[in-house]
Amino acid sequence: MDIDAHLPLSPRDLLILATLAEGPSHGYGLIKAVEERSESGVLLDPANLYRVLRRMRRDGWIEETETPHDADGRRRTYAITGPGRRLVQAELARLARLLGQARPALARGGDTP
Amino acid sequence: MISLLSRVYGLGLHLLPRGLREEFGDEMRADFEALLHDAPGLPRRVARAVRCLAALPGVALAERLSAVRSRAGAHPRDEALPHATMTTTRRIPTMDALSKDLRYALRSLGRARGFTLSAVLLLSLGIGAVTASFTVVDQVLLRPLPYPNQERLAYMTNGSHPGPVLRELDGIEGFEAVAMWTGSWSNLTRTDGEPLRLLRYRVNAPFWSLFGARPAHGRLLVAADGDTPNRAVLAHGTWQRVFGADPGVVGRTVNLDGQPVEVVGVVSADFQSPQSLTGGEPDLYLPMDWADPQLDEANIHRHTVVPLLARGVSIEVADRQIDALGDRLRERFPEGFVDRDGNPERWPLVPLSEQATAQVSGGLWLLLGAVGLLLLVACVNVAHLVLARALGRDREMAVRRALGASAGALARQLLLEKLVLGMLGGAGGLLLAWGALAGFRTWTTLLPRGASLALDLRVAAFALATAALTAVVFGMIPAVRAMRRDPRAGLHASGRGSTAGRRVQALRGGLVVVEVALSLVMVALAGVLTRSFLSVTTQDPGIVADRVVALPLNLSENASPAEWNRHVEELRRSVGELPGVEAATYALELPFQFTGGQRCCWGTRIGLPGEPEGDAVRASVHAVHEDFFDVFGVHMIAGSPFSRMGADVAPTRAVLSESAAVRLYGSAEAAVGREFSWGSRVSEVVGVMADTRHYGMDQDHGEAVYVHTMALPFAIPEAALAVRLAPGSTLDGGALREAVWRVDPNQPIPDVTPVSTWVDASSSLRRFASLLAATFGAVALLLAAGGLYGTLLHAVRERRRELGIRMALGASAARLQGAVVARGLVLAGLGALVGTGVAWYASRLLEPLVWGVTPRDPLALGASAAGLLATAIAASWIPARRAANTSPLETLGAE
Repeated sequence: MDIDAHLPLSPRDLLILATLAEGPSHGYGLIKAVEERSESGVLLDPANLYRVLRRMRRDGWIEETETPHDADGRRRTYAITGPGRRLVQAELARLARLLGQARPALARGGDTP
Repeated sequence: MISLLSRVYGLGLHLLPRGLREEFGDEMRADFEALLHDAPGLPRRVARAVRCLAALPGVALAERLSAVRSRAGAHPRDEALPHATMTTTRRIPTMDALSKDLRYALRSLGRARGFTLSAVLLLSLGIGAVTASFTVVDQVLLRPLPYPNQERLAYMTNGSHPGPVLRELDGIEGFEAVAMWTGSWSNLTRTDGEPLRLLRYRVNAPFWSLFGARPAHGRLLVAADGDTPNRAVLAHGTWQRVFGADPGVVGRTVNLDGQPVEVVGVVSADFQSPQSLTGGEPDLYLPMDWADPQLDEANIHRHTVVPLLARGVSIEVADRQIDALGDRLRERFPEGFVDRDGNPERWPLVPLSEQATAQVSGGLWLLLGAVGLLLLVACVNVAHLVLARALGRDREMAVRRALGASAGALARQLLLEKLVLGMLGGAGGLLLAWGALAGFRTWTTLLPRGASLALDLRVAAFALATAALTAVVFGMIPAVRAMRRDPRAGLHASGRGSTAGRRVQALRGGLVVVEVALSLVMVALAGVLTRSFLSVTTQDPGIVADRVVALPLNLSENASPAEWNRHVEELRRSVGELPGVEAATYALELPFQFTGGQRCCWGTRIGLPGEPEGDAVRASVHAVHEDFFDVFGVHMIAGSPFSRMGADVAPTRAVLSESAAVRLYGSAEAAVGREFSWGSRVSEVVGVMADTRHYGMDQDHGEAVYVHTMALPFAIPEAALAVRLAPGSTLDGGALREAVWRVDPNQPIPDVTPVSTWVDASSSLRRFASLLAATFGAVALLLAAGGLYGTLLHAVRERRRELGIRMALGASAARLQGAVVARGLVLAGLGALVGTGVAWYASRLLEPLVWGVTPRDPLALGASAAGLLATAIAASWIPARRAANTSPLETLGAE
């Protein structure tokens, strides 16, 4: 599978996959995680979340897993797949390269963020 | 709160494509609830809910877009969140992006100032009108009355009821309790101020609990107070106004109509009296005086009756029990309880809430309907405007698409623009509604509970949503077009008549037809109501009210009819000597004093002496002073009025109204000198006068008997002076005061009312209705004309090239002009056809509201259609001129 064709990932997609890379989660867990990680407290609304989850599942980045114990019968749990993990790694590597290229340029301008 | 919002969100989810919704809908909802649950505080919760809801249309659009695109074989990857950046980097839209979009939306609206202004005005108009009128309907008609068990409170119709009925009502099984009251004016005399005229109600003991009254001070009246009728409870307003809110007034004795009356309590401030729903607001309450001999008379109708139905008893069941009571009473009082045609009198019950609004409910529902139509017309016009603007933006959309903006981003941008438009319109609408309600509050005498009208924000939200939805739906058309099209096409073609353009033309044509039809319905409605109003006001009232003023009096201190007459006569003489007074007279009650279906005070049945009771005719008796006929300019058809001499000697002399004379004797001339019987009395006809519309311009005159006040069988605590002034003169307040007090120092100074204002007031509701309908009709007509104008103008602009070519090929200007006007007429004609049909069908709803014309008045319908077509021609004129002025060189050169 050609992972590079799917890069770059949108920040939101990256955040979702990165969260799942740490362990399976249900949708609401993802919403909370994205909210915590994005510093501006961005709210990921349920409709957008599930739309993205459906696409990721179709593309094979994530899958549904057996729900360990769910108080609310309406929720399903999602886990990252092997290709999904590789995709996150590829995107992180791309971003790291990008940062490496950008930093010296900023330093020369004498204006550090 | 959360469950309500969740339900709303659940509804919103239906925007999403079915596949997504069915698979994930439950989870989305669960997460939505959890999100709200975790949010601290109500404002945050609502903010979160709004953001989640606001995301739905974007997701829905993006989903459908990607479905279209994957069908077209494009890149299978989805759009991410729609946002406004033109780069390909996708990120979560932040407040920053949102405010950028907002700035862009405002800029783009600001550029099209004419469009923005018209759209905002239209939206304001629709939203404002609907909000105001629904608020009125809701608060006047739909809110329950403020009483415990209000749904079981009924009203006994057919006016007021006499003592023999009242005494039997307790025996009716279907009633749990019965409240009854009668009102009259009283004089309150004080050592420390002028005498005051107060509206006093005698109420029975169950009255208080039935209407949930509580005392603010002292106590309310109980059944035992009926034995000592000289006890009073003050209304809260009276206590504050007259007694300076002094709690010490409880236990004090005041002088009411020359009698000492002990104040036992004050009603709490929040008590809303039932009298204020059907009559005048009480100033104070006294107990029912069951020992009053008038309560034994079957023909003295003075009491309003409001029963509380027992649980589980329907109005129909109670009605049957009342009918049975009527049958029993007819056996005891053979001459009473039958109507003017000799049939048994019925007193059917209606729910009290209905009775309280009976006079205005028809008009208010009509108002709501008319306003709903107006909102529709306004929405259609907004659709027009937005659509016209959208078509002009194909190029802009294409450029931005070509520069890399995603269709989702454009959609979001357009959405925001329309939402801003909606907000502005909503703000304007609220302002308008607020103003309109302030106007309504001044009509409080016409609307029960009118004084407490307050803006209803729920209604405003509804109207706003409707209007904003219209703007959004039609505003999204360019986004859809941009999406469907190859961006290059939009860049090439400069808006020539493409197929899509033609489809939109057809859509706009359809909108015009709808608009014309709706406005025709409203204009026709206004036409019928105006014709009805005119037919009411052009009736001959039968009296000459110019320069006649009325002065209602309180005469509660007279024990006998002779005293009553002496008392009023002295007042009449004293006032009659004032400068500027041409003539003065008096009567028990005056023409137009009691209008709108309430009939005062004295009814009887007249017949030929010796003929069977069944042939008797029901008539109202008016007790008047001998100069009454002169002062009111009543036209005598035969004979002459009676004089004072021997007025109290039997047989009483009487003047009959023309309809009564014709009914009894066949003609006016035949009546003079003949006798008739009424009750146990016999009278001689001395004159016949033309019918007067005594009870209002829109009331049938009915048969009437006029007798001298000396013939009154008992003293009645009311009377009214009527004074004809010399041209150009008025009654001087100080002199009037002196003239009244010289005779009767306990008499409050009466309100001086021109009789002509009573006459006008009797048709004021009709004037209001026709004025309102005419205003709405005019606005709708204007809007329809605007829609037609815009559509034709746009069509001409779109077909400029075609017109140029036709012109170059030799078509005459007149011919092109004719073609445009013809198109306008076709659209208007179609609309008029549909509208006439709808108006014809809907006009039966007007049945109860019109008087003197049929609701399907052909003149009103025809005139509306003709007016509409004339307006259509006028609206087509400028576009037609523009077409005729097309210069072939210019248009072809422009490309």
